[in-house]
Amino acid sequence: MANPVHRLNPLTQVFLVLAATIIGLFFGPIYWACFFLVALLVCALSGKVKGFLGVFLVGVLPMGLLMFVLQLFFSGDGRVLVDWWIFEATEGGLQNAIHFVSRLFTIATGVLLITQIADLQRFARDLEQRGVSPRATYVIQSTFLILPEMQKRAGTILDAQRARGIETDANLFVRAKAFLPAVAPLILSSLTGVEERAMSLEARGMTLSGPKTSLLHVEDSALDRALRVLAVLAVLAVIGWKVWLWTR
Amino acid sequence: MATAKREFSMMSLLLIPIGIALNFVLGSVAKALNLPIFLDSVGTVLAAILGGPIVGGITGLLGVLSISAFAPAAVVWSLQAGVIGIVVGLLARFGWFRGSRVILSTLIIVGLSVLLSAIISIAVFGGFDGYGISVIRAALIEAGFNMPTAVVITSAVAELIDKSLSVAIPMLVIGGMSDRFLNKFPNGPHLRTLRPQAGTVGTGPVAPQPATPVVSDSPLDQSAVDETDTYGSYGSYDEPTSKS
Amino acid sequence: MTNPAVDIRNLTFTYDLATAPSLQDVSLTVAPGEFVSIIGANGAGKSTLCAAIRGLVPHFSKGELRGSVVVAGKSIPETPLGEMARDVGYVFQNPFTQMSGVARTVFDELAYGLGNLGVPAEEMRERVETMLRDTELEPLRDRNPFELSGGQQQRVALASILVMGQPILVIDEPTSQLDPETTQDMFRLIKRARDEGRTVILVEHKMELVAQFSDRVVLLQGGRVVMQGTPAEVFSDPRCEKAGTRLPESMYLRRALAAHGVELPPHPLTVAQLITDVDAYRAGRSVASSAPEPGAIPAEPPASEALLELDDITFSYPNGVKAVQGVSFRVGRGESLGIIGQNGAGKTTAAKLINGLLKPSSGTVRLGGEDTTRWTAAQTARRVGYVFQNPDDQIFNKTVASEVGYALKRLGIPGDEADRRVAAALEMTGLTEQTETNPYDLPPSVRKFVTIASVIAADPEVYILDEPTAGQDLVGLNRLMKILRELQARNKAIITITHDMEFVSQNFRRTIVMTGGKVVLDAPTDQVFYDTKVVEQAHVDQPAFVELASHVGGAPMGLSMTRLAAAITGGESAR
Repeated sequence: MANPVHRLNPLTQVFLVLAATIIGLFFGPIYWACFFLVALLVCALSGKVKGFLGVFLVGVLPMGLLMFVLQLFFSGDGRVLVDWWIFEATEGGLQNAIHFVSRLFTIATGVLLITQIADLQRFARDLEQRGVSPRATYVIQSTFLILPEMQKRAGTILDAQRARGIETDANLFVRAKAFLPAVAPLILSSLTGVEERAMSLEARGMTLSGPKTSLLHVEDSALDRALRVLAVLAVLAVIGWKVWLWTR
Repeated sequence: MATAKREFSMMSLLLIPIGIALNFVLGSVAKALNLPIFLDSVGTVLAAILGGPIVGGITGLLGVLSISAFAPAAVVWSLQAGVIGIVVGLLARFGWFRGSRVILSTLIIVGLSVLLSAIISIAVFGGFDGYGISVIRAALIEAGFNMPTAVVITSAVAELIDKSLSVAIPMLVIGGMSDRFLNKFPNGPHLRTLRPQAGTVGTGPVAPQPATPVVSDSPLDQSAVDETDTYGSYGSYDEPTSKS
Repeated sequence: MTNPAVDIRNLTFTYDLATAPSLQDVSLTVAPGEFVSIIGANGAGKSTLCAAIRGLVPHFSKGELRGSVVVAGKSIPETPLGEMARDVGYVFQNPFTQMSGVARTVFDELAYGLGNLGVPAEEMRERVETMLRDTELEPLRDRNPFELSGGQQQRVALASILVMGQPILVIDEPTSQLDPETTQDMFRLIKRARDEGRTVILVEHKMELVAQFSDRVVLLQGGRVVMQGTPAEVFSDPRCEKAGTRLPESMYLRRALAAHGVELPPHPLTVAQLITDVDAYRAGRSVASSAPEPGAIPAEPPASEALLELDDITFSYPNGVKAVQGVSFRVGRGESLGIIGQNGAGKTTAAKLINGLLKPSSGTVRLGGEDTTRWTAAQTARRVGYVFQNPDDQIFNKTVASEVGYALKRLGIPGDEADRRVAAALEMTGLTEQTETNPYDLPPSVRKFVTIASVIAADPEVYILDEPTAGQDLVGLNRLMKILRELQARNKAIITITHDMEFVSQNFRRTIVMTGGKVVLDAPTDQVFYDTKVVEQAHVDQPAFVELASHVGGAPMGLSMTRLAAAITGGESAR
């Protein structure tokens, strides 16, 4: 599936999405709708539509709805549109609702887009190629790999403490008392793990001086550079335009 | 001393992914135990206490950024998490996590959290930020409070619970750590009155030491073990096996 | 020696905040290509010495270092820690923390170290491909390192260091957490490294490996070098056992046979050597090959009233994996048995079904006649005590005493009764000197005894010990044996899961063999290991005794030293 966006340099991807998001903050729901459709298209080309829509529907839409309702009925003033019990919808409220929800959706769309199409390893490698210390990139990459193991360990520890007689299935008070024994060994052994992994990384030469090599090479083409410049210019142009409008 | 500093920085570095992971996992343990708390900064606080302000700040920032794959809107709070991480780290570094000062430190952190949370919530989302707590804010507004007040009140309650727990848990766990274990972390010595770190390679003559007992090999008591039925003596090998 | 690989003189090292040095006046010289093993009880300073060779001591673990340490011509205290990565490879016990965390596949994991060395991409690819083949890790090349089993991770860890090609290798207890088959895999890799001419410094508890490969053995006690020499020299010296370290099984066997009148040449370092000696012995004495038939071994009388009953248990994980299928067995009071099988055979799952952490998909678990499925795990804990494989999964209190006593409150045991029980448990586990010690200041093998003490203090009727022998030195093994005897004398039922076949054969009259979630054999221990089909199927080892006895042949001799001696001498020993 040839997705031109996918093949772009990761930094370019970030620039483009960031620019689109920042610009979107100056506009309203129509901008967002277009942004959303474009994002959907890009994801479709990479086969990530399910992920994109999934998170949006589960994680963002409910928030947006709640926000819309609250803004509509409990903020702003002006002509009253609907009045029932404590719910009083005003024109001002409607404007607020539209304004803030489209802001939420714009930010969310940008974030979702970048998390769906970005490849963390390529991003880290690109940064390294630009001279960022491997230690910085290590932090970015390692969290996701370590996390599932830690989750499993948490389950084992909970079991181990239950096997000692620490009850986890009774009333709230009892369960609350089980929290510390459930997490303390996890924290402690994570900390000993910090020391051990630091030694392992030393053993693999992470702190060796000298140039590092890698099997992965990330390209940065002229097109990439051009796009990044364009993105920055676009953002500046929009900001400039808005400032000019505001001073009038 | 340059090498000592570098080695510390490896430990600091690795505190960050652990902190971020703990943020996630501790929250899911609370869920598994059906506890009504939403803990997501214990890891940040732990990393900050042990590693200092930079470690804390990065853990907070990256931690929230990591969640954004599942909860995109959380991105706007990443700055708050980062600042809290820095502040915790600074407080710990200057000894404000020792003894009863912890309480004051916690209050400072809670206050800062509320302030930042309120600013972000109002500036970005006008106060109704899409989390369940917004409903309570609406109720407060109906009752006559203005938006900023409503936001501060709700945030204060939430942050008081969350941040107190987020400080209490790491401190309890650290309380169980031995001095030697704690000393391995950059901020460790500031949490207790430990000897100043030697961290040096001493070569050549050193002030004569009082005769110290040799480190015993095995911490286990060996004296009482029965001499006749030890490992490798095959003591059990001579009876016919069908003896119940 | 002109250019020693390792040249340590009068090394004394004290960790920061420690009360005494961990190493005292240690001198050691290792020639290039030499294979040196460091042995001693846990706590004697073996790991500290390894760390010093790599430079982790004093750069990483701070402390005061006196004396000189020169490795690959570089003075350790003056060389930055990172630079030593070119010269010294380092592998240790924990498979999980040796995974770098930046590699998404095993291939990338192996390449990581080469990238840090600055090896050009093409060469990197070649070396990784070769190493994958040589270490038989090819099938795993695209797997996520964090989704591998512990044994697989450990092999990857070793391969990731080997591929870097350092001339000196420091390997600290690589097989403590592994099952017999994976242990053999690791042994092969280490042997390959040795054959390539690398200098190897190894710390191991499995003395057969030490005896087989070492050019020299160094015995540490209390941070000092007690003696060094060839394996034969060191193992035949009585100071070796006094220092708390095991001998190769073949030597124990030889000693026992000598006590039965069979005089074999001293210090056979391997079982193979012992077998050769026995053959020579018999040939030299023209032993008639027919030994008097002692008759079949009488069958085991029926077990006393069953305390624990598993009846056709099946358990499947949510992802559909059938971990346990149709398992049934009964354990009576005062019975002590071992469960063996490779990792993944279902042993731990069966144990969790017994103590209530898991509920069977079908079948019943009965304790004292009652069905346990309706109890919570914590309720079952009063009657079934489970010592987990990893003690760090449970430990979090500041002192040993408070850790051991922690759960007693939850079990509703009043204060002074609790104190009494804690003291008694500490006494039984040999930890009375360590009451106020922080558990994390103790070696991991000793922390295991802290969790054992916690369970003893709770005084359940059934004990399940999961891998108590892993990484234990001789002191630990003896202590374990003593605990087992005492618990049995108190009429407790004890189930021990272990990979140590020697320990099994010396301690348990009954052994259950599991593989693929099923019980493939449940029989007296003196019969189990002779069933070669089962032994192979379950990927376990035969104890040295059984290997020798099978070779000698003749009438069935179970685990009777008398019968074996008789078979070897042709019936002439009448002890």
